[in-house]
Amino acid sequence: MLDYWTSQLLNGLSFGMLLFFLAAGLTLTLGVMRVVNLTHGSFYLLGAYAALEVIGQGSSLLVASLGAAAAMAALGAVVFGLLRLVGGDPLRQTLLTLGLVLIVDDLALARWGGSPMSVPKPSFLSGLVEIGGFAYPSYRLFIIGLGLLLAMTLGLLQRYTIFGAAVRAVADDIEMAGGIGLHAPAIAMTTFVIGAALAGVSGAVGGAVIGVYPGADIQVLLLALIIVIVGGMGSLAGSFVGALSVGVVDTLGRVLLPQMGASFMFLLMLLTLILRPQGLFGRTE
Amino acid sequence: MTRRASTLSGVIVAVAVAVVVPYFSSAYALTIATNVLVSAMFAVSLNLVLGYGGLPSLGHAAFFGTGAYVVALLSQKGAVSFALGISAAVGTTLLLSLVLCRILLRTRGLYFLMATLAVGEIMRNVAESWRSVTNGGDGLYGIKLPGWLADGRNLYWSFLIALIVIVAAVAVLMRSPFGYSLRAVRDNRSRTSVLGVDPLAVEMAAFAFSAAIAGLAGAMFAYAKAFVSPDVFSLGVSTDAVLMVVLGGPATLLGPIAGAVVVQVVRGIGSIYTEHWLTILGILACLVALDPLRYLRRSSHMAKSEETAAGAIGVPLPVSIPLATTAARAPSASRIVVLEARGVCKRFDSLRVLTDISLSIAAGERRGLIGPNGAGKTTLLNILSGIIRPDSGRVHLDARDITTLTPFERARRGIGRTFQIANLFDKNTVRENILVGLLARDGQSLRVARAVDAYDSVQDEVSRLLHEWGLREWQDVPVGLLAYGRRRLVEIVLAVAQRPKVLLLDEPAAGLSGRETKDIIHTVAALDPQLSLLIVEHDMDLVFSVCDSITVIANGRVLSEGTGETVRHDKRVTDAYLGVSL
Repeated sequence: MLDYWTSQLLNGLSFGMLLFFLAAGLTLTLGVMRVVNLTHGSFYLLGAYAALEVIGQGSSLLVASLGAAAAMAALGAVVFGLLRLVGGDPLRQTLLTLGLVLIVDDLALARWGGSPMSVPKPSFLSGLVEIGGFAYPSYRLFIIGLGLLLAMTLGLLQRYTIFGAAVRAVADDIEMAGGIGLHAPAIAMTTFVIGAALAGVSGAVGGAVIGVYPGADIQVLLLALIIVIVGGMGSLAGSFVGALSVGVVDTLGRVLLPQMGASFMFLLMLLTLILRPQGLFGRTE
Repeated sequence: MTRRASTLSGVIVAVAVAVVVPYFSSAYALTIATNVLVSAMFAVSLNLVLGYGGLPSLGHAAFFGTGAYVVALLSQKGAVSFALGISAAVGTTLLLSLVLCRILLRTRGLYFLMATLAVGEIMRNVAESWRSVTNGGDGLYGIKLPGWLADGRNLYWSFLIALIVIVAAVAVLMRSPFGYSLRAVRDNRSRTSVLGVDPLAVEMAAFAFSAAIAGLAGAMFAYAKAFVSPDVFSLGVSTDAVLMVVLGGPATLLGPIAGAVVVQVVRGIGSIYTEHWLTILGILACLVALDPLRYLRRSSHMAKSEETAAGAIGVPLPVSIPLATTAARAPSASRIVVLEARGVCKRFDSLRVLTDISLSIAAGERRGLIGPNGAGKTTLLNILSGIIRPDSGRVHLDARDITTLTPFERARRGIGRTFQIANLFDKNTVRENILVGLLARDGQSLRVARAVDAYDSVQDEVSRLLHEWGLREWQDVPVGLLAYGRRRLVEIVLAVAQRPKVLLLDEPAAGLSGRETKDIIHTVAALDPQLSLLIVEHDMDLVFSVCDSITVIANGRVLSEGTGETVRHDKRVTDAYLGVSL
């Protein structure tokens, strides 16, 4: 019985780590750019399809992930350019990214069809591993490890590198950052492109868990938004804690009360909005 | 008048065309026309919050879908009359919105956008998971209409009447004091609350009204389609409406309807000729967002605004300020304290901004509050007017504790204030600015029944104020186009018109030229002698010529207090200003 709950907890953690992959990119674009970016889910979906194409050519998941990252980075740069043209009005940003979501949806449906697909796991990660006397899928452990690695990398980058300091400065006060000689648009663009690439990678890696189908983009966008609301906009630590708590609450909730579906996740979000509207790690503005 | 006449004739033609559409259209075209009416109703509802209220909701489908599901669920229980179905849908949506708006309106900007989006998706999730009631993803069929409405034409006409009634109601609402308050809150929330309007109440009312109309639109949808599925809650439904509103023009009466016509016609015709009408819709959305035509418009638009502004820039202030009130100010024998701060402390994180500040202002007293930059003057003003709360210490007005009251509650009890940087409703005219202030003062901000033009006594008072303060010839100029000095004057008029007991002036002369400063000194000196003033100012001419007494603060503590002479010769004060450490 204990093993059952341990494995459910691990399921929750691995789902949470996957969510962190998604939310880290979104929180960077929201916090630094202060733009509404609804295309984040589209980056996920296209990243997953791109990975499927690359794997179809006989390459490994690693190559596929890199390919998805590169493709989404390029697309991210294009979207960023369009957002710059639109200017600061959040309504127009919403409309632009929404239009792009519709176009991507429609064209992806035409290209890849409507039936759900799954990114194949590499053979050495498709089995079970034994930990402490019970067996657990190795791919999920792989995701937990990858998520921890990403969190550490991003955390160290943000805290200890000059680029990280510049990103924090731009996030804090974009005009002042420009005033002290930082090239704010370039920093914002780099951040945006990194966010898009992360979404692409999560499509390649998470495609095996979340699935790849028309409409997955909106599902993924919603998940990422919930985490950003719970964790607080622009906070990496917030995304990490938010993603893990959403992952665990959702998984355990579905086990305890299956008929409630995804409602636990939403309740967590509403609770956050009531008790702490700026999110767990967010700052009041 | 001619513009109004042409708008009116345009509307009449549009209505006439809409009325005769069923006679000339195929069944498919009638379906599209009915879709247009449903979408238009939904877009009109969204426009209330998104356009007039400035609240970017991406989850309005939550209310649309609720209306649709209420109708569908009632139909499952057997025949229910059309009127009952509609009222149940509207009522349920209204209740839902009253619960949700308390949560949603705690968030602002991007958070509001994300939170509303999530609420819409929550509803979709509930509709999909709660299979025993909603039949899950398969949806609900069998929505029946009474005999005469089963004819598509009759349904169309009844929807058309409903739309006309709702649009007329919105037109009345937006010209009422409530409409003015809503736009004022949208343009400058903090300013409105200092005028005594409860911004949350205004937004909640707009949100609830909007949700009720969305519920109506959803009910119409359910009757028109005779089928409801969880897709009515989908993000696409909300974003369609956003597209319609932005396409047609937010905060315009008929824009959302025009937007609905374009989107539904593109969809209706597009889906005949191509499978990829979603792409067409997406490109349309991108084009509306990018608005490439603005590059053509910009040159002519700028020329126009400069032309309008030409008269407003660089003209000195009039000296004809209400001199009637310069009656001799006799110091009263007994000192009656009006506003008092007791032991106020405030820190921002580790930074102590105010430490144990006590200050009292008597009736009719004119107190100057001076101190070096960063002394905590504006923070103290913000604590007195309720914009921020002190960590400890109390604020009293007329010997009553007001420490926990919000800015608008304090404004209603008689605290007026101006801001360091002119803080007005820039897009509105001078007249409208003062009007919003007076309506707030009289507690009429939430009235909806009559247009503001019908409030004769308020309009007369605005006219009188404009005349007294020499602003009459600028009354129809948007405040944002006025010369800076004149904007400061409007700011003072706005505050004085509230008839406060205490007026807090935050650097009234900041950013003014020498000439304009003299005029402002003259203006402040000429204010009603009964009115207590607390003036934060760096211009010492102003402080010493206007104030009876002066409080000096530095590093968040009271340094010295007394008459101008006392303070001027206090060594601690000169040290603080010259930067000598104490």
